[in-house]
Amino acid sequence: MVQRELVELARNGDRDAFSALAASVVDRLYATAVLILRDHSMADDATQETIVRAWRDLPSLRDPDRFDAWLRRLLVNACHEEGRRERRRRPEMTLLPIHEPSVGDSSGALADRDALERGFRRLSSDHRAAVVLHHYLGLSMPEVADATGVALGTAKSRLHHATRALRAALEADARGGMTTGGTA
Amino acid sequence: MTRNDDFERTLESWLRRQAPPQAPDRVLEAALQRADSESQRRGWLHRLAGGTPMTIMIRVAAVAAVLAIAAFIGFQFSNLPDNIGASPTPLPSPSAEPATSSAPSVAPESSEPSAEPSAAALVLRLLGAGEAGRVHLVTILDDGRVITTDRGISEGESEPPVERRLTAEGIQLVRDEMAATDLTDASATYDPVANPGEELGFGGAGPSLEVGQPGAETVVITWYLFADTEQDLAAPQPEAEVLDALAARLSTLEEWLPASAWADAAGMPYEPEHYRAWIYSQQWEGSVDDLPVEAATVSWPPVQGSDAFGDAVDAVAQEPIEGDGPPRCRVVTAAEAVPVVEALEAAGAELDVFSTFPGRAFALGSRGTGRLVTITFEPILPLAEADCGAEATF
Repeated sequence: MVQRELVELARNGDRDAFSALAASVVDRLYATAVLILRDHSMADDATQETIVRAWRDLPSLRDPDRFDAWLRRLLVNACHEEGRRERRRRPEMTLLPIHEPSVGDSSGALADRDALERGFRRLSSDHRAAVVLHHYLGLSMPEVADATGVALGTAKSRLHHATRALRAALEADARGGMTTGGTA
Repeated sequence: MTRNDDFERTLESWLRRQAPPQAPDRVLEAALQRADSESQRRGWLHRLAGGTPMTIMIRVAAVAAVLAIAAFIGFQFSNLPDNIGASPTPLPSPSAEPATSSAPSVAPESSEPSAEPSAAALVLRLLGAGEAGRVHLVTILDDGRVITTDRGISEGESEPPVERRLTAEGIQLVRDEMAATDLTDASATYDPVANPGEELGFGGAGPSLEVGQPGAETVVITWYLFADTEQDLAAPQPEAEVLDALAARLSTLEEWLPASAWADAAGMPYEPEHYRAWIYSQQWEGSVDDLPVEAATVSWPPVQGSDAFGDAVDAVAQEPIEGDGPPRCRVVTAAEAVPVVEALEAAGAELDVFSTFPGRAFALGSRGTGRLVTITFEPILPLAEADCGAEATF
């Protein structure tokens, strides 16, 4: 059954259709939430909240073909609220590295990875969301703006600032490496 | 290949490696278990205020707008502007003039406007509802004025409120429409009732219809139509069904009233007499380079002490964040607000983040103090309390 049919059935209260729909999107939702929140537990909660809200509010979705975009917006909202909630609980929360690959990195890639990890942690969740939506999910900037509920200019600005910060982190790391190498 | 390409490839590759390939089973299981105990909301009328990035966490819409905008940008409380200058121009008019370096004239704090009751009486006021409280849909006064909030507010795509005028015939047609339901003569609440042995999982307020009664108290009817899809949890709700249908008609007057019911040809932007001016500031935790328009470059507001503007208002459903003060609010006339709005607008400080908020929203950053101020102007409807403590209908 294609997604549109599942959405239409679920919108009319068909719980089986909704279960199938949720199962088809949960991995992508979770991966996106993990990247934005940098925390598995918070990503669990944000993903669950997104799925529950999707069920509850599906009748208000007028165009089934907008389901993916609508769901992304629910997810970004849920991530944002989760981040705020966590900030109240743990104002100085430490963001943990998450999915670490065990093989396949050259030393240069490892250095890049560490630099990106550090740079990414320093971004706000809004900026991380812009990066993840554009560079991980492959959304266009208008789609990023739609998902995050901001004007296109704001979305572009966030992505610009975020990529600038990440690029600076990589470049700083590279400079540090060269200096170390030269003096050793 | 450019350096940009290299960087983007590195970034995208890193993100793919960081992303977990699949969600733990418990995530879907727990979500579906929770969904099983929840009913679906029944359409736009019952779900007006829950779809924006921030509205979930606040109950009072006006406070919501301020907090939401501030939270969305990620600032914390700080310097608050003082008073608002005077101008006769109506607020919704955009200004093409650039900001000047001279501050607008400053009105004394004692010039707070009094709520001037409109001479017109209420015919009806319809509010939709959702998690963040009731949201204005339409108000009709007996002088013919009809103020409508775009239905798109339920999906974050609303246009600004519009005002039109009905003829006496038009008003009568609307009253006839209400009278035909036999449900609008007396105040009542129509909530769902669980069938024997069942338990209903619903929460929040439903829509509300206020009906003006000449010489008598306003009738208030509220209802919550339970979306009983397949489980037969609730008893039938014939009254709520009728009221939902009536609400749909009242919020789409132009679709069924004849042309002769209208005293004008088309709607105009609604220009309220008063606004609630909300100010909320936060300490910016990120780089000052990311702050929005520098406060010092705007002729207004003069950045002053945080207790200089209006009154502090409790953020009802918002847990306080250390370093944040309460939102502050002051009722201002449209004439007072205009020069401020024009200066902020010309400086490029306007936010169009929250299309579900029918007022105007702005953000300024103070690089000297590392703080940011968000300012919103919330329209006050006719016959609504012109103070900051009333529950907002927008």
